[in-house]
Amino acid sequence: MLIPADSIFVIAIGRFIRVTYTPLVFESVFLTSGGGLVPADQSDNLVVETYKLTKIYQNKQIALNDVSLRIERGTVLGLLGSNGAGKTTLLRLIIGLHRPTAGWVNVFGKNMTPNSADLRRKIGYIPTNPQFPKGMTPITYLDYMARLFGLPQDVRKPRLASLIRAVDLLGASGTPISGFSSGMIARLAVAASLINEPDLLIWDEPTHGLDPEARRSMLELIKSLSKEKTLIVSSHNLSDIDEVCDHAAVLSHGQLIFYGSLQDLKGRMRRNHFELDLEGDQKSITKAVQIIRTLSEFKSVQVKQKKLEIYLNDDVVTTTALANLFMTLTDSKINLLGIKSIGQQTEEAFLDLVEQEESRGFARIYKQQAA
Amino acid sequence: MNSGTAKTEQYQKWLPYWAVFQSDMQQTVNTWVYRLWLLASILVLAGFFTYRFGVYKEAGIIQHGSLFFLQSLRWTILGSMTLVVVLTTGCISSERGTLADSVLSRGISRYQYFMGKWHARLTTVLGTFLLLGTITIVGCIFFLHEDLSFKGCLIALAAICALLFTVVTCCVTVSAILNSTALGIVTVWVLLYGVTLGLSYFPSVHLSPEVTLQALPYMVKGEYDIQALGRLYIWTLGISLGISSIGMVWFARRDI
Repeated sequence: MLIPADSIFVIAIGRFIRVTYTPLVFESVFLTSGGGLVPADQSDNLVVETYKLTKIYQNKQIALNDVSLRIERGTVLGLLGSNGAGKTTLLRLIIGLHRPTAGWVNVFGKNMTPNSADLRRKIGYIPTNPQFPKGMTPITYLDYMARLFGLPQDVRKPRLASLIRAVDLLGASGTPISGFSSGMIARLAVAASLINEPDLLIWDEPTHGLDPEARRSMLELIKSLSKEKTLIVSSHNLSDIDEVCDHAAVLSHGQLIFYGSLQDLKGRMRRNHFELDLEGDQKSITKAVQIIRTLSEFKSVQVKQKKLEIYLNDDVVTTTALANLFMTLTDSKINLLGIKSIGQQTEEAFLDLVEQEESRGFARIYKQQAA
Repeated sequence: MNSGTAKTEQYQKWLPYWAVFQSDMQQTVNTWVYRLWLLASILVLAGFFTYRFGVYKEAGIIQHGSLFFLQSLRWTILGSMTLVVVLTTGCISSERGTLADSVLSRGISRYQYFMGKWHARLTTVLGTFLLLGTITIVGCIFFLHEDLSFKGCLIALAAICALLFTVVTCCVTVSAILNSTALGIVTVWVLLYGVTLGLSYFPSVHLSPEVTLQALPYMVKGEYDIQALGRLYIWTLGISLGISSIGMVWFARRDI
């Protein structure tokens, strides 16, 4: 995330917001997604870089607003946002289907334009609802796609045959695509996006409309591809992002409100709900629970058989509260079998972020530090 | 991490253009508009030819090949122009959206895509017209009273091809600029009528579409002004290239 030099910006720490003025110019230094500073000469490792990217459709709709991000090689980025947040617009700008109203997109260090065919040869793209020319079969379609990438016959024919086999469409390779189910269409779209052996994959809602089995296969494929490629995956399904991505970008009303590692995103969410599995006699557990309830750090303490569910107060330090809890359990000679934080963390963090952004009101004029 | 440098040598630069060209040709000949145009043209030519031939054989009234050839060309120009406009005006606008997404997101530039589409439609329309025209010439020479000049016929066909070339280019360009096919068809018709009307005010030494049509009966008999025709070919080619350049640049700069 680029820091606008010589400008006012807002840093959010927990639930507090601090307005800071930075008169310094960050020469050759950028904030990375993880929040650390790296020299600009490391920008060779960048696959995608956007700067103040803005898209306004026909002076009527602001689809994307001042988005600056840097995606490094090997990153698996999950693009999050509600409907109309600007996810597809951002992806279309990166692939060169749209031209920015302001700002720029660099892919593999070169500016992306609608005529950057050489850059798109290194990209595999799946649109939200892939559509196919009428009357084509998987073989003719993949052959067409490969020719669009300029692949000669001795390269494209073996490759398309391998891909058809890999996505399990061998039995339907000569069948018209018009009769395909959504799962088969998704598999064919995956094959089409891999036909050019791209370095960067941009998949817009790849699990959209898939049954659980197909969704599982898609997630496994993303995991295996992430070992050697850079991926940008847009999805409404936060658990998918949670499972396969290592970085996340959150868009809200066209603005990038978070860009960083998934751990950072989860870390922004306050974890105050825990569940503990205990071992010991029921009498000791009941006694210990009574003591814990008297401690000021705990908002709520529930026990069901040997399962303890606790809610911490907002303003306490989690480690202190848990230390006190463990001390009490030790004193009561109760053993701890397991502990887990409750709730879909990514989802809660995402909702928390969006809510936080909404609650800022006119302060949104000033940019919040994204990570 | 795999690098793209080793792979770049494998690419054939003009293969994407050929892919779009071939795909569009196949799509076009499979459309109902093209089949309707071809069927209607063949039926009209066959019916008209049978009638002329019958009158000549049964009643002994001499049927001039030049007159028949001229009337059959008029059908191609005026009668089937609507279908030609419909066939070509939707070539890009009808594909805009998700289908175009899946093509233009690959390794093809907008220029190549536009040229592939443009050349495919030109080949289809002009190829079909030339085929029908050649069949008509052969029919006239063998079965009707022969007052035709073979060279004149070819020049007449080339003159109409030049006009069709401009019309098709205009249609493809409008298709690349506008989102709606219906709006494109209306725009093309307004343009064609407007330009034809405007050109009709020029002196007759300049071959406008109207003057060219009026000169056709003489052309097919071998009476033509080669310099005026040369100007017609150069002007139509120049205008077509100009229009297509505007369309190409516009298409390359717009959002899909």
